[in-house]
Amino acid sequence: MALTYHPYNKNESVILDPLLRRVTARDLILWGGLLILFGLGVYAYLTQWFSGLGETGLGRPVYWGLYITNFVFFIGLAHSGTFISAILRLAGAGWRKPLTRAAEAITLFSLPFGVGSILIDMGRSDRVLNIIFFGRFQSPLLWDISAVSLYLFSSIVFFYLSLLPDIALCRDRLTNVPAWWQKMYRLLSLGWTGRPEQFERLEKVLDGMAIFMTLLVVTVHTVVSWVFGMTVQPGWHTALIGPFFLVGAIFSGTAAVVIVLALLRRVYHMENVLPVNLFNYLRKLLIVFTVAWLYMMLAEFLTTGYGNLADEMPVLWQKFTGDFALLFWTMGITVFILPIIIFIFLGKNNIGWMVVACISVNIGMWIERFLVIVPTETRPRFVSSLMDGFANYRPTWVEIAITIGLFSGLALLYLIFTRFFPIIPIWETTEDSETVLLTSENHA
Amino acid sequence: MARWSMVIDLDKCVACQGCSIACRAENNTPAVAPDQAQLGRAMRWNDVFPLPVNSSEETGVYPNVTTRYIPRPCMHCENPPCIRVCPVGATFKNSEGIVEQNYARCIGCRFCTVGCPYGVRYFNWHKAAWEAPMEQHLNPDRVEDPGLLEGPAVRPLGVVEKCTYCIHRLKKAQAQAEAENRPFRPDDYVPACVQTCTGKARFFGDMDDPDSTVSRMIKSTRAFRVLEEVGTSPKTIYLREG
Amino acid sequence: MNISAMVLTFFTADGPGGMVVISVVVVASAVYFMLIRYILRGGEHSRK
Repeated sequence: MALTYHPYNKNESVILDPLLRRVTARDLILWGGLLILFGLGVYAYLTQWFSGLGETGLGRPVYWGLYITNFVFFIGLAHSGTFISAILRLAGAGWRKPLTRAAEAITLFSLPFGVGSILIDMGRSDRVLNIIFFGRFQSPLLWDISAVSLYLFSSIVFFYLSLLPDIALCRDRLTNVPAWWQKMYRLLSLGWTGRPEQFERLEKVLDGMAIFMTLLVVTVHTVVSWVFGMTVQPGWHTALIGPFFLVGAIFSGTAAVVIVLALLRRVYHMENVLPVNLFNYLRKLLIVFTVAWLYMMLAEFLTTGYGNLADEMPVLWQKFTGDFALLFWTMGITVFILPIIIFIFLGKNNIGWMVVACISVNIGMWIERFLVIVPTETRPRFVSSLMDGFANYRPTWVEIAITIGLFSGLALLYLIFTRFFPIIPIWETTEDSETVLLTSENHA
Repeated sequence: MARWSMVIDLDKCVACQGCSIACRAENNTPAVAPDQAQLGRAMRWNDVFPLPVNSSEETGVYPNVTTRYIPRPCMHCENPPCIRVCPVGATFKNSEGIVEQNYARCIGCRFCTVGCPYGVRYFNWHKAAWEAPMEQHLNPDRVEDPGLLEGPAVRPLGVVEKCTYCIHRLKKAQAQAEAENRPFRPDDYVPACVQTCTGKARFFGDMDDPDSTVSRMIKSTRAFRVLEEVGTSPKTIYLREG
Repeated sequence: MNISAMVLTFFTADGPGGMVVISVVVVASAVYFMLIRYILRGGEHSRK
């Protein structure tokens, strides 16, 4: 029998507790509820599959609406994990360690829903393989697919590698779980035995991947923004769109991490593992991001407004005073005004207020994505606004049900994950003074 | 090879919409129900609409009304923003300057529809359907090859469509010329809208031929291209009034 | 060997785009497979 070495972590039992919990009625109600919402989304999609995209509220000239908004939003959400894990790792920010897996799990689970949103939006998703057989690299969609595929794949690997020592720990510690569960740990742990050389190599590879993932974060969201930026449409065709999307993604992603961490802390009683000072660090980052986002908005709208070009101004007025004014100013309040006040004056040492601000940020950022996409479509250069049915996009139940279904699916996947794998890295959060290694038998 | 171009004389156009109806009949474009039209799903490969297009510009008060009408097929640009963004090559420009649309390959991503600055592209939100007995009077012409379906063929669900300069008529005329063992003459081919125009306001031909009608008209001082500053080089050219 | 024409064809023809996507996924798979193997083999021989 091989021996496996696991670094000693005094919080191990707290972190492993969610895996050992019994399924309560409350759990079943929650999971059941999420599953029902997801199922409604599936039903809505099937309606669309058989009848066509006519089931949505889309129409000329608003050919892209909620589904593309969801696509951009979910990809943006995915940047949270990479930012916390990779970028902060490179910066040597040790306080990030307890957060990395929870954040990366957001990345891992939101990316498929982002990709799914594109498939949902396609008129002929049965022909998706045409992209492989006949793909044209001149199209920004191909850049998108290449970048997002690479990002998804790399995120899975990065996540899995960070998880590997803890899977081995579960394999060795959790001997009382059902056989199929044990088998899953055995399979997924790939025979990890925790030798010092293995840990050394793991750290080296994670360092290298962190650099690569950082580059990918920049590439992916810039490329996503170029789906809009590479057209000639007013409001979309701006050089600032890449940085604009990137800042927005890191902003909404970090806010999402705060929400998830607060929930985990409350539900799984992890006050010692996720102390308040972690939230204080994130608060400082979020203040920077909020201001950075404001900078992007000012740069964009001041430049556009001052230039006063005939094609650009109708789109700008649509946002400031036109059909989208209510949404636009709501966004301004929920993304900037409310959060900055809370972050600066109320958020220190107060997780409750932090969560309020971060929920506000994410709602506002979803609206912001919508407002990048739709107002430009409603003021095309050469489509008559005097004709019947011009630009009166109103999402239907199908689009709303699918959107809710996607978010429910994400929540459900995340929840289930936390019941099978430790959401806080055990091997990474050991304290330096604990050099004693505990061994346990590897039931190979 | 020819370079097909259309010239529309706005001085002669009376906005009767005969061109739109001829196009619809020729290309099997279904009409949509009023509630669908309210959602912006009416499909008009050739559209006739008032200028200015946007309500922020002045239309004038009677009798000093400044509204004009413009019939608009696809511009068949020489530098089309739509084909650049197609991920699967379902839309492409052929050697005769026609921007084609292949229903068999289109994945319905609608990137081309949001990319076109002229709004000439339409999408099949529902399966094409006609009220009885209209479906018995469809144009049987098809342009079809393995992996290629375009023109008047009844469109499948979820694909993009647009004006093709009646490419099926071009193919038929070319096939006819070959069958009759004679060279193809540009005069053999004319799109349905040009043929039907009651005001004789529409012209069609080869702009590479210096003696063709369109070439001579393009040289007129009244000639203009829509959205010239965007750089698409449209081949549907207008002659302004006056 | 007209390089500019080749590059233009690569970007505009139907097919090369799909090849890029496949190549990216295949190369990434290979690299990650080898990296994981490298990690797991750490210290393998020194103990025997």
